[in-house]
Amino acid sequence: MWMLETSGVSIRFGGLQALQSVSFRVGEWEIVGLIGPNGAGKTTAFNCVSGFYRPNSGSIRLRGEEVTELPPHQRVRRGMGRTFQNVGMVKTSTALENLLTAQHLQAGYPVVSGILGTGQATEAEHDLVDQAETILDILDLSTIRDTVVGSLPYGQLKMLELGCALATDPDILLLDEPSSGLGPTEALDLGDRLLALRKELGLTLLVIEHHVPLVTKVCDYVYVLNFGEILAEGEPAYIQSHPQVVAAYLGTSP
Amino acid sequence: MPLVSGIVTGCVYGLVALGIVLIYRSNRIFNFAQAEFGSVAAFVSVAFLDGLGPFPKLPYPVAVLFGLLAGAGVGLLTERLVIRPLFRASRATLLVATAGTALFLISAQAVILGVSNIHVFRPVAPKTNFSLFGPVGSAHAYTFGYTEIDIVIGIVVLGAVGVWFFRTRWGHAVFAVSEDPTAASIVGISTTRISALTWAIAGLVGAVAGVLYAPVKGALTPGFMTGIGEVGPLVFGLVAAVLGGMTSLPGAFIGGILVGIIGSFAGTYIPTSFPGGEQVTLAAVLIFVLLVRPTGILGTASET
Amino acid sequence: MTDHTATITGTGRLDLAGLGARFAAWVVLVGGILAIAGTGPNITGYAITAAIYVLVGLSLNIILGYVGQLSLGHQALVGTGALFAAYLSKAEGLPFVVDVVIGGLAGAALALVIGFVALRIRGLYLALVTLVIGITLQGSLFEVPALTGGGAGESADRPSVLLSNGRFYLVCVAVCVAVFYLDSRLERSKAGRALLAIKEDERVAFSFGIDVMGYKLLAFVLSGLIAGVAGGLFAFSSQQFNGNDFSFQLALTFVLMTVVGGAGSRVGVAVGAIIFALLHTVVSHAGPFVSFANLFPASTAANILQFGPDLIGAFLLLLTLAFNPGGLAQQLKPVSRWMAGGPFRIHELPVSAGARR
Repeated sequence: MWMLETSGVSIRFGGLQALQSVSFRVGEWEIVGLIGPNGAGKTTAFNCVSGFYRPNSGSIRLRGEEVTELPPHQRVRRGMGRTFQNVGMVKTSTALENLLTAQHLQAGYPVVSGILGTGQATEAEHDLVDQAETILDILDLSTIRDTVVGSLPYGQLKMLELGCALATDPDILLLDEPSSGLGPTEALDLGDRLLALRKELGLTLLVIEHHVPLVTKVCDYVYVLNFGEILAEGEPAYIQSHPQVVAAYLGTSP
Repeated sequence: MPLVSGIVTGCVYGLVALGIVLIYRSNRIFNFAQAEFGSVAAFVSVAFLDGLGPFPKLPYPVAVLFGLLAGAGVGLLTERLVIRPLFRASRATLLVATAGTALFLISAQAVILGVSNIHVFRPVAPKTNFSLFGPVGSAHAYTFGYTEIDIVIGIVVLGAVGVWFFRTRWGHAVFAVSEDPTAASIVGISTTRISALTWAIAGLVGAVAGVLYAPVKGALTPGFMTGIGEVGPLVFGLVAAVLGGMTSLPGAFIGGILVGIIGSFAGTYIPTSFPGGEQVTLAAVLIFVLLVRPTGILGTASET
Repeated sequence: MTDHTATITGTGRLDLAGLGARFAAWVVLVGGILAIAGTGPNITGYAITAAIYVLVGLSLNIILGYVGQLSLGHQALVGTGALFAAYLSKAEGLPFVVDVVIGGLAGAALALVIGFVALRIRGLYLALVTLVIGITLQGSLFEVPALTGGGAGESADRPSVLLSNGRFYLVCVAVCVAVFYLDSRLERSKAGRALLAIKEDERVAFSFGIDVMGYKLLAFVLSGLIAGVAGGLFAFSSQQFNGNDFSFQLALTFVLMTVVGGAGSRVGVAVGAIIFALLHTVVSHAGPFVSFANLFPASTAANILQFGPDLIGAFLLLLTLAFNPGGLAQQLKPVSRWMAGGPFRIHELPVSAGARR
């Protein structure tokens, strides 16, 4: 059974067919790359998978369960985490507060308890703070614990966003261009980190990427999206030399 | 006849809606002060008509003209003093600002004129000898009088505004700024001037609505166009604008007519044992449109 | 969080002077609030109104400040609470506390219904819908003779123990304090964080697993609950329910005072509410000092007394929006933070600025 499977997903915006019968599969513990030129529809595909868009046709299955009709937060509850291309955080809160918010589903006390300030709620909050600080440690971000997120440099922002995605306790993580804005060495460091995440946390990853060395280093399997359709799929080495893929990126005819 | 009177008041609502859509297109907010442009215009006209206080008594057309100028002036002032300083603010803030402006204008009217003084807006003409559905004075006849002149004036105003917009350079500029302010400024259109112009026009259209509605209302109270303690033309105009699609000018006017008819029928046929029938009907229309067809009758999809 | 005054003195010792000053400030504040109860029926009457306005402000703050939605029909929630409280008191003879509580529940239920409808609608249109719903309720439900006891309005008699304004005022203050406390707890809990995330960026909230619609509804319900309680207290304060009291103007006043006070800040909203509630008092007592009758013709003087407060209120709003967009909360922040045990600092530091509002 596949961790994540999309079949025939199509979505149309007005006159534009953004995705046409897109089908891909991600196996458990795999790191799968989704690549393609700008405007190919990669983020649109992510939005369909994570529930922000509703496709016109096709289905999305998480661990065999049909999730196509579920709103985004229900998919998070079932173990699907994601990051955003332009970084999704609560900009006016501190790093710690963001991590606390991201642990929303782990909070373990009813809302009323929170309002009344019961012991159960207070204890649960302590646990959340501990877990948040652990995540900060793992990602070497302890120094920014009380910094307002909006004032953070881009690199730390992205790392924190990854931390928040991890805080939702996902089984599969959808990363939208995690290396964007990073320099070449930082990008490869990121690659190491992703591999470590898979190994230590048993995560499955679906990654939108432009950075070819990173894709080659990290991905087990790659899908190429072009003009809303899957152009090719295969292992990174195969994809890199695939003539149509090269043409799609460079604009020359195969 | 509820249908005809509905169309008549509908013209007023249509004009209010017109002003609302104008501002929505240019500033992306609902102008809650739109109706007050009309209240102010009506009161200024009355001041000149009756020679109140320091105002000299002037003939009807001149008094009304001053009223219209006052309305346009208030629109300009609002743009200058309220809207422009808040250009960086969120849309919700701007909306609250227009609501505050409305309250300010209403209170100003109340302070200056008082609630107890009755100011009656004389109709522009007494009932004429022209009637529909039968000779004048008979049971089924609908005699034309000042209220029916509303219809003619309203349509003429709409037509004139529309023509002006579509044909003149200034009109094109207003459209350009409302579609894309950055692009407009790049081609050399002064967005501040156009903004002022747009609000002056909205003030003028609102003023016309106020001056036309005043004789229907008869005894004027401060804020009568916004509706204090009752449903005034502002709310009808807002619902009409939504019904018409919020971005379409002819849609706004048609929405106004429709809302007028609906309101008229609700007022006539819903028994008084069910209080607030008019309001409930309006609310139902608004909610229905927003849930089922947010783009209204003539709006375009990209605008919600 | 570290207390900076302790760091400045260089040790972990208690800063006795700071502690003493804070204690004194609290004593003055609490003492002042309690002392008002003994000032006689007129002043306590105004104080009761102020306390009720504070409750409404806190209620509106949940929707406007925490979720970031504009509610222009809030007077309907308050009015519904008043209506139910008065009706149950007169027609069913239920005791005061029960009446007010049910008034609150009525407000919550209405808010739930409004929420279901309105929250499916995007952006500013939501404000429009709340406006229309508010007006509709005022024109329909509040005019039903069976509920309002006829044109003059249903009466709501206070229990004998609360007949004195001073005592009723203390009850209102107690409710305010309770709501203040519960609201601060809400803010620190997972619900408070969820609401903040929703206000900032809904898709981020979704990606954190937050049920956005559910929490927005929760905010509406909590807001309605508090507004309903305020309405119940209002009915008993004037000892009558009158539908005309709950007009669009009142809804606007509520929004204005929340914005002037500073949406998102309990203290700011409370101060804004008190200012607006007291505008009437101030204007009428300014009579001897300004002598309106000498400056303006007689009728205008009377009008100023009646409508001046609205005029001033609207003017305050426009000033706030232009020059002080964060509301009075910005000015009050150093004081409120100091009173709560933090350091006294006029300006925000870049670090830890966002923590514990």
